[in-house]
Amino acid sequence: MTIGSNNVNKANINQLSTGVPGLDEVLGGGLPEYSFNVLAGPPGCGKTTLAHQMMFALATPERPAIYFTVLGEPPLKMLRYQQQFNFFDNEKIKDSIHFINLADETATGDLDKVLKRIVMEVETHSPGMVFVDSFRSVVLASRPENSSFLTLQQFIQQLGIQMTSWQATTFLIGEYFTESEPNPVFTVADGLIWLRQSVQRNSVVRKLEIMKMRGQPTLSGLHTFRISLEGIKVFAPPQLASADQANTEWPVKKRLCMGIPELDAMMGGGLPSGYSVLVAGPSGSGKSILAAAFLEEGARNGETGVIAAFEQRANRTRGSAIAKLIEKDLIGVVDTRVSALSVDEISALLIAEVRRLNATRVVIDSLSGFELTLAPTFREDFRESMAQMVSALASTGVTLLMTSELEDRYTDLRFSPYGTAFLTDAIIVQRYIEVQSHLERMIAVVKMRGSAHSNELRLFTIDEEGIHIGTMLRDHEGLLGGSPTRRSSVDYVDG
Amino acid sequence: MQAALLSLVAAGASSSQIAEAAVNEWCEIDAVLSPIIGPHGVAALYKRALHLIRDDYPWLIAAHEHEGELLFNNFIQLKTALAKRTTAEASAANLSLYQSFHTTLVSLIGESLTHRLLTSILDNSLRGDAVQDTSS
Repeated sequence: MTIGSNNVNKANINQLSTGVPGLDEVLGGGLPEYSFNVLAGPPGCGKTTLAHQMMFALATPERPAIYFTVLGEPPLKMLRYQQQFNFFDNEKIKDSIHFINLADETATGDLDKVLKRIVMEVETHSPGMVFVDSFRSVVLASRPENSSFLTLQQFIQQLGIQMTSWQATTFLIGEYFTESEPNPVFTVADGLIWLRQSVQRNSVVRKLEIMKMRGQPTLSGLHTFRISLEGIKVFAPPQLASADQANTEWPVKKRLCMGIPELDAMMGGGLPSGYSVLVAGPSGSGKSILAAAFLEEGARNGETGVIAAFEQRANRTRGSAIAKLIEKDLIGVVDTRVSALSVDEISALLIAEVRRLNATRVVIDSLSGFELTLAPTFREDFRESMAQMVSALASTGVTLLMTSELEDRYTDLRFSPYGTAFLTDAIIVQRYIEVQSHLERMIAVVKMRGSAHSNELRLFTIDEEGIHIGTMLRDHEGLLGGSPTRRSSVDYVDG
Repeated sequence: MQAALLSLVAAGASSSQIAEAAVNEWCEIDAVLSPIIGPHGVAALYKRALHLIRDDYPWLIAAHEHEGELLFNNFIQLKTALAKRTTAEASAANLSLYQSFHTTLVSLIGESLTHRLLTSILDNSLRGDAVQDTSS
């Protein structure tokens, strides 16, 4: 992939695929070839891992990589720990990847010697990529009395010129604690990738920011990432799929059955394809059962689905029918048990699973559980991130059902404690009411964008077969207050 | 390393020749590892290897000691110490030292990567064998 003009007289900048999931998107397409970059952040934030992952992905015998280790982490330890990652391929070492220790040159404090050694090795191996880890050690080791011929500023400029002329994409890896610290390195660099660990209460979240990347449409902001045995995975914010994929037709033609015929009727013939629906109700009112019915109905029609369940005992509450569909891989499950989740991470996982199964139905059960799973640092931005996620999911053309715990308050009519109601195209609300000393359940369709729908408040029951929607309580009033009063002696009437 | 030295012993080499050959091998190891893990890294591994075989070869570690500190100086102490022993003792001690060094390196960076880094030396040793075989 290249960026820039197609005009033959202008330089085309190749973009290298970094091999780090999500990073190319955040970089605006990939890493510009021959760029001179700084990878910065506090100790332990994943700089060396990120560098290694890119190096193992990009190095070839024809275009090898040189990894210069300086005074920082002892190379033996680095090799010991980095080889635990799956991307670390022993076979590449010596042919495609050369580790070179610069401790002797750096210890002299003479930057000229360091530069000469780097240039000598670059001339010998003709690398496509060069890493200097850690660059901070070079800076600290440089002694003014020894570097009368070459200042730090000149050293960086010369290094930059040399590496670009030798057509090497370069990374200086360094421990920097504050990005406001004036630093000549940051000025000279074409790219500046900053890694951070944000700590709030007990949760630690890793975040990455592209502070600078010359000539590239990078995605601004802090992007969460996770380090596992697979290496680093960056969660780019969910991007809207191209417009032609958003297949909600207007006016609505295709509708999906909810798996409960009476509910379909109340919704004016089912849920329009591509819509998002919020099912709000108090604990135990049957939201998850409704969500399961929605997915099972999809499977009956040959559709696949994806579920992100945030309940404490997700496996038990899903029911055997759903469990079987999951076993057959007709329903994909997004793993929500990892700690310190971000909305972007869940979005990325959901969208990946939707694409894998070519799914048409997605369930998030529940938003309340989702919010609890999030790292505290993301809770403040929950609504904004949710809005982004819902539109990204909608743009893939899936039909989305989300449940939301609704505290039963009989003084006001609320659908969602997060103000998420505005996000969705449709809202179904479930409530408890007291009738003749019994706790009854009631269901209503309160919103259905661009479609006629029933305005009835209907009783419903739940048994082993699922939800059964019954009658209206025609002779009662004040249902939304929770304890309706009887208007006349007439008993229940069918709706 | 082992095969090359054993061939020398079999060929009736003197202790000095054994010592010379052993140090050449060590210099090759150093030449391969030093650029990667740094001279200090190699020195630390070498000293650890000496330490681990101190009970079997106390004279070997003693030769490296100076005022209570272990010295590492381009294997000069190793060469001197080996040359003073019988050929059998010298080759056995050097083999133990090499095995101890190798085991330590494997414990740190794994069998596969160690093998990968030291392949050229293993190849050289094999070539050395072939030369010995034809000359004998």
